[in-house]
Parts: sequence; structure tokens; C-alpha cells
Amino acid sequence: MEKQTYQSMNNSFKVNRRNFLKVSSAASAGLILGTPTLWAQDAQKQDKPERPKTNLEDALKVPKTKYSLPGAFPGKVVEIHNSGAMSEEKIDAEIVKQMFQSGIQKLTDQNLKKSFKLFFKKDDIVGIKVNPVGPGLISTRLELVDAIIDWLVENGIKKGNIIIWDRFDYMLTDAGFTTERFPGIGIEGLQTMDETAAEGKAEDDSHWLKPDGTHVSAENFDMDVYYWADVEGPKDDKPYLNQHVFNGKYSYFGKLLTKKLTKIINVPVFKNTGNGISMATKNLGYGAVCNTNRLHRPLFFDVCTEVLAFPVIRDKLALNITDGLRAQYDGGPSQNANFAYIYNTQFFATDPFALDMVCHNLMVQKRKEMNVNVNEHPRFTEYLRYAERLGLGIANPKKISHIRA
Amino acid sequence: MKKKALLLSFVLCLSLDCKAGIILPDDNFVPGWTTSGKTLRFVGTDLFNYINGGAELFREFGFKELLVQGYRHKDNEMVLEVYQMDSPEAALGIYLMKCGNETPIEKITARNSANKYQFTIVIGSYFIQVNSYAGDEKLIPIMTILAQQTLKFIPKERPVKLLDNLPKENLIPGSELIVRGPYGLQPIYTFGEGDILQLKSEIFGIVSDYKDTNLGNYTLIIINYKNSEDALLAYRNLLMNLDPYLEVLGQWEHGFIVKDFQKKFGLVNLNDNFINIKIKLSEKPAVIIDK
Repeated sequence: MEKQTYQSMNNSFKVNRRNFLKVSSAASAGLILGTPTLWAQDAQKQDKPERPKTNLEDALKVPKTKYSLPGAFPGKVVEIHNSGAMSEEKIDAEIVKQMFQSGIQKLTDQNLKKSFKLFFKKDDIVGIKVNPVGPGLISTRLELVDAIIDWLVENGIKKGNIIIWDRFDYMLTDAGFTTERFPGIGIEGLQTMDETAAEGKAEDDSHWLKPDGTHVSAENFDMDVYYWADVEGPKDDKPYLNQHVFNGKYSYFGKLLTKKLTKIINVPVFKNTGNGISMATKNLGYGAVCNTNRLHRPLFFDVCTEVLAFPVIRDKLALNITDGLRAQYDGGPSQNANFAYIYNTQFFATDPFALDMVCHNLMVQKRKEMNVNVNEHPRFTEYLRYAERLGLGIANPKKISHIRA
Repeated sequence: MKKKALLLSFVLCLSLDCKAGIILPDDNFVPGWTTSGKTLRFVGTDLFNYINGGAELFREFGFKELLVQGYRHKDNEMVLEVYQMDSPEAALGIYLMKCGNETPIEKITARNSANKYQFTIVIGSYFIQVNSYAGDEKLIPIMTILAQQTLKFIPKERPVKLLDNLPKENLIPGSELIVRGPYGLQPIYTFGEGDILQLKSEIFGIVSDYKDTNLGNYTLIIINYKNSEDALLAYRNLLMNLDPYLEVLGQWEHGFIVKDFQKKFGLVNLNDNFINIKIKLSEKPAVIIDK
């Protein structure tokens, strides 16, 4: 770095009075608009990169059902806060349960039994999609999942028809979602991944790669139900294949969703991803399909809308409950204890897009409070408005009913 | 066979290089604490296999190498991460992005921010994190020793003076940041698509917030390009490819004023090697321009 030659903008604008052009609203007649012709030869307007094509149209062709998004309560978001639910040291399962029950009833304006009937039948196979990233610190609280299971079982769903799921099996284990902790409840990861091999700790790929060159979890994905995007996953990249099961242009949905589950309860965590949020729509958008890393750069948040437009989610997603008992305002989506905090809040909605819009705005508020830079540019919520245009949810804050208790 | 031999020599080379560089604390750095697993080394794009989200920022800032070593004592675990960046400025840039509100521990002889979960440290071209996932206050002394022993082997380097170039008057302490591309810029402001300011992971921009009793708080970004030609090219690129949410209200030969979607104002000025930018201004600036 050269010796200091910086100067403040104030200094840079010191001028000789005779030779100035004053630019202000009052002197707008003196403005030079447009690019000076001198520059026109060099300065190039860059074409915005074309958005990769996807097979969204396939999803939109399928007629909606009475269960389709945005569900029974479009645009309605219930926020329940109880400062006694959790401290750094312990969690009060009873209060967590009360919050859950209160949230459901405020969402439906009915008691728990009638609420259940709005969303489920007794023979439903219900998948509870948790978020196990950041185990123990910011993963979905086990006690909240307990409360959900109790409600389902009390209203007639067999324990064996409840499955706690995520994309990665080892993450579920790390976060405490085990058969020992949840006896009788199914625990399923859509795929495995050999962390040891991915991190270069082992040369042995046999834990994830079959002799025929396919991933051991390949059969867990439904080759007939997929999100296609005109973006290639990298070829000849073992770590990628280990983590994403497939490369190429197809992101297949897990067979758990396409063949088994009849309803989904989505239980993400209140946390950020960069300048945006990683909550309800991202928990499913990037959690229900494989081969996702290729999508981050060109499509990122749009995936959170488009994957949810497929009937396999659109028509099965009954409830979204964002776990904000402990939240994280920066450093996400991975855990970062520097930015985790006790929030003691749960959010409820059938409409994941309205829910994410409310939570995004709350996240912006929190980041400002904590003096973290936050860019409020509309691009970070555009995917929610996109969902509204597709009829999947409500994103316009004026149409969202945000109820706090 | 030849391929295997090549691979083996490569691995050996990595291992030697590892030892020739910094030395990570070994078994019994505190009695009873032992290393857990072998030292992992990530270079270049390997980093994506270690960091779940966020590797792009490190790469943009000039990431060279990461060493990761776990430590264990009974049920307690810690993980030491030592990132080597391509310059002290790059290491400081990452540190400022990651440290949050700084809460330093005096016993650590380098700039740091520490709590029971994580120590974040910067020294020379190195960015270091000591992670204790249990978050146990009792482990803070162990984390401190681990950090101290790591720092012993970090080579001394020139101090970073980059941020000295920010005007001091009315600067809001703790708001200083460094950017080197679009990922760093993302939480600050959207000027347009991609590397709109043409920082190219080479040029550093310095950023800070300022108090202004008349205009409210605003953010200042100063970028010193290698020469005036590069600065001019970047300025033209910015102007030609401005984000559609930014409305140009006024423009002159080497500067322009914009209004953003929040009805706040921005002022961009090209001055020799520099692009100076003020954003988030509450009032439209009345600017006197040297014609």
C-alpha cells in the first residue's frame, strides 16, 4: 500500500469558487445527465446474466388442491414470545409446549383438537422437517419437536407415522434427533455424507461411493420427481458428489417426500444466511432435494420459491413453525456462537412466504440493533414477492397479518 | 503406480510445508489436553469442503491456506483454525467481518474478540479462531493458552495502516470494515451486479460509518485503485451498470448523486486514483464541484 494519499470527500470537493458547478436540487438545470460522449466508447453496459431456465412450468401445470400453499391462512403469521422458555443454561419444556399450543390456537382461532383436523387426518404420515445445522446451539430445539409430536399423537396419529427428517442423516444424529431420544418416531435423513472423506481425513470413499461409481444414497431420491435448472453440478468432483449425491442439472426430491409422507410440518430456526435469512422457505428449498450447491450462485433465493412450488411440497406442507428460542443474527447459516442469542420466540404460519417476510424484517431490525451491517435492498426479499406472483403465498407486508402474543 | 507416487510426494510436501510454516500446539499444551485427529489442511477451493457457506468471502479476501486441529480432554473439545491470507490487510478484512462487537481478552497479545464459544484473532496475515462448542466459561483459560501458544509461532509482520486513511472526525468506532469484492460489499450496499466496483479480489476498499448532526449517520467507502486509469474504468463501470433501484439525480464529469429505494442519497466522486462514496445520506447533498 502506498503512503497515505487518501482524503475525505469533503476535502476532495474543495474548489475554487469561480470554477464550480453547483449540483443540488435547486440547480438541477446545470446537471449533466447521461454518460459523457467521451466515455461512451469505453464504458460498456453489461447485460445482466440471463437467469438459468428451470422446469418451474412443470410444477405450475399441476392443479392445486385444497391443501396447496399458502394453506388455510394466507398471509397470517403468529408470533409467540415467552421470556421464561429458555436461558443459556436450560430450557423449560413445559413453557415451550405452552407456547406451541398457544401459537397453533392463535393461528387457527380454534382449539387444539379442531386445529388438528384443519390440517391432518389420523392416517396421515407426517414428516417433521427440522434444521439440525449448528447442533445444540442453533438447531431446532428437541423440546419444540416433542410438543409437536405430543399434539399429533394426542389427536390420533400413530407414532410410527411420524418421521423427523432432514437432508443429512449424520446431522440429525449430531443434533440429538435419534431413535433413543424419540422412541417410536421415525428418524430419516434423505442422504448420508462421509464427512471424514469430504474433509480429506480419509482416502477411503467406500462409506459413500459404491463400486459402480454411484452414491450409496442415490436410491433415496426419486428420479421421476425433480427440480431441473440449466446449471451443471461439477463433474469429476468427489467432495461435491459425496455431499450432493448427484451432479448434472437435476435436483431430485427425496423419495421420503414423493412416496411416503402425506403431510409436512416445517420447523426451521431463526437465523441469517449472509444478508438474507435461512428460515422456512430455505429449510425446504435446499433441504428437500439433492445437488443443490450448483444452484447457490445463479439462483440462490429463487430456489426457495421454485422448489416449494412443486406439488410434492406445495400440497403437503401443512404448517411452518420457526424456532426462535435461540436465534442467530449473523454468521449464518452455520452456527456462530458470537451472534447467537436467546430470543424465546416461536412463529406459526401455513404460509411460509409471509412467515419469512415477517422474520426477514425482524432480522433486519435485530442486525441494526446489534450494529451489524444490513443491506435492505429489495433483492434480498424478491423471492418472496416472486412466490406471491405465483400464488404460493403473501409477501406484501400490507397484506400480512402479524399477530403477536 | 506413478500417479500414486506423485500423490504421496504431494502429501509429504504438504506435510513438510505445514511443519515448515507455523507450528500448531501439540499434545499437553495444557496437561491432559491432547490433539484429536490429524491436522487438516485446506488450500484454494478445498475450503468449500470445510466451510458450509461463507468460503466465498475468504476466497475473495485472498485465502491461501487453512490448518485445522482438534483438541480433547475427557468430554471437552476445542477446534483451532488458522487461516493464512495473502496479506495482513486481507486478514484484518476477514477479522472485521467476523468479530462482531469486539470483546477482547488482554492476555492475548494480538487483536482479538473473545467469548466462551469462540476466540477470533488477527495477527499479520493470519486469521485465527479457537472454537469451544460447549461454551463453558471454565474453558476460557484453556482457550487462552491454546491461542497464546499458537501466536508464538506466527511470524511478525508489518502493521496494517489501511484504516488510518479513514477520516477520524465523527467516525463511529467499531464500524470500520474492509472490502475486496462483491461478497464483502453485500451487507453494506448494492451498487449493481457482480464486482461492480472492480475490486477483483486485489484492491481494498475501506468502509466506516459516520455521525452527522445534520445529515444523520452515513457510510463512507474509499477505494484507492492502483492508478487513475483503473479508477476511471471502475467508475465508468459503476455508472453504466448501476443497480436499477438507484436513480441518478445529478451527474458531472467525475461524480454523481443517486437516490436509493429507501429515499436515501448517495454521492460518488472519482478523484485521481480514488473513488470516494458516501451512502445512506438522509439529505440530498449540495455539492460544489470543481469543473
